[in-house]
Amino acid sequence: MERKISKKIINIGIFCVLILGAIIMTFPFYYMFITSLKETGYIFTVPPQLIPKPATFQNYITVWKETDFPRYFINSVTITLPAIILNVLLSTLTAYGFARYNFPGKETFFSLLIATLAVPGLLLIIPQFDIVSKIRWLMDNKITLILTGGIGGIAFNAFFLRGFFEAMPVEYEESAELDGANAWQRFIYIVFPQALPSVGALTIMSFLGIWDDYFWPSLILTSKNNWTLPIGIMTFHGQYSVQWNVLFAGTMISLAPVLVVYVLFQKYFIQSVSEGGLKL
Amino acid sequence: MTREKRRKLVGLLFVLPGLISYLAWTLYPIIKSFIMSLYKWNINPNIPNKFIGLENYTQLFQDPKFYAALKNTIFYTLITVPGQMVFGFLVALLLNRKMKGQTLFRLLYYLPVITSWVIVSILFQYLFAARGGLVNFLLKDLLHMIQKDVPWLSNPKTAMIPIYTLGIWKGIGWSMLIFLAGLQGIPKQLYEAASLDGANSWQTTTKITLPLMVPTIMFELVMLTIGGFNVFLSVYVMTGGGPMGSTEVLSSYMFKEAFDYFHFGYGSAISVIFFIIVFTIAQIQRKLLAKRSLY
Repeated sequence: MERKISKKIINIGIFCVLILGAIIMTFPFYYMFITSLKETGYIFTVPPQLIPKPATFQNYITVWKETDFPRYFINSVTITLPAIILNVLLSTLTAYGFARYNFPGKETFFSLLIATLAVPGLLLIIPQFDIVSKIRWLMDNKITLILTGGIGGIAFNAFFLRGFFEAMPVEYEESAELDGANAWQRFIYIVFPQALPSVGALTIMSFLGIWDDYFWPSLILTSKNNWTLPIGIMTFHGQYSVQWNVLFAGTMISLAPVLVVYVLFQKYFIQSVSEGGLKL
Repeated sequence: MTREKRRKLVGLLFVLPGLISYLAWTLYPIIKSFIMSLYKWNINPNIPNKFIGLENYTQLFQDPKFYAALKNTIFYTLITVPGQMVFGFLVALLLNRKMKGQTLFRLLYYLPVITSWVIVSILFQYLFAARGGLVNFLLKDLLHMIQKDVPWLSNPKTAMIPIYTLGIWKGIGWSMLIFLAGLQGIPKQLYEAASLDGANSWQTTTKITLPLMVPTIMFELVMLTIGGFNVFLSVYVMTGGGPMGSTEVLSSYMFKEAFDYFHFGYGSAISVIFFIIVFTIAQIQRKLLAKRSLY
């Protein structure tokens, strides 16, 4: 009896600690959101308002009507979607080839992939920029970003997926082969559907990486017409007097798609981390 | 053409697109950055690049700014890595039980991880604002721990503190998830046996949980250290390396040299040194990864 009561007290204590932690983790987001609903005069009041009075959607209207945000948003979508498709397709093809086939130089290539896994993308940016800047047509072109986003991180993705393909039973593919399905058909109709959970995790990683990328696009996209959301936000943030409320309306707009994807596909997020151990 | 030969060709066709892009976009740039670091590189294609051997490196090793950036990067890693691991481990321990709201907690703790560095850095700059910022309000008006507003980001002595705080806050969720995955891999029978022997929860934690978590702890240590060395956007957004270079880190210094002053050769030399450090850490990681499935 006494044990039961003390166990209950411990459980309540644990719950309180977790709640406190969750507040620390999420309150900055709440604060960002309510600041985006404040009028300019209320941005730095002491004490800070925790519920905006008066609350207004004016900042969102300002961002959407008076800045180029809609264009940035469209640019971000136009770049991100094809880049993700390209990235996922290339990664799955590569991983599948390594998992199921033997070809000359296979081991050498795979060791190479693994050896360069730890090379941070940031370090390649100088030579990569030098390559792109030498070809006039690639500069200030959204297609460049679709391509670079599409071929980014292939080493890691192939490494991440290969283990999954190797663990998949080969019998389905073998029986399909006997039924006369060619390699491509086997890949599309049998392997791909089975690999959906891992491919889902990969798609999400790819999405976050490309949607949030700031530095590389800012080097390539020089004209305002081509800017993506992060570039727009950073420019806005760099202006002489920062209008925090309008700026946060912008960041909320940029964060919204990520939150939607996060809530809908949380299972894949968790999976990509627990299985792949990757660091975002 | 024999069947065996055909299979080899098909396999090659599968990996070819990925392999070519990898060679062109990862391997070639790696080699190229080594080469560029030996040149006085000119971004104007009409002016030839000048080969200067190891001069960029000799200059680098006499550059006080480089040492300052290296020191800041190491400090950032030394502070944020244990911070993320300790908090992540605590939360994982508390969450590792059957309870209501476990999924919701996981979701909330992981929120900072999925938010882009650009957004959270802007947000933290606002929270740490000198006048009217939330942090100063909490410390001064609510808790009375300080007498007057601290100008966090404009004082060289305190400018790293918001950057550390952000680094830890953003990484806890990832650390927690990895630890949770590790904890769930520990066989339940061990705990059952221990409780039959009358072990209390402190004993089970120190005698069972911690020893069995060693591979996971090592894995996190390496991943987070590499992550720590890569710190960039938080510095770039919040302070731009200032005030007076007090928050400059390796990557931000490299970017300044390369893309503000267009010293591509010198920037490459910085990134090669950086690469050697990270690569060394990664080699250790590979040795540890091999042991990751210890239990």
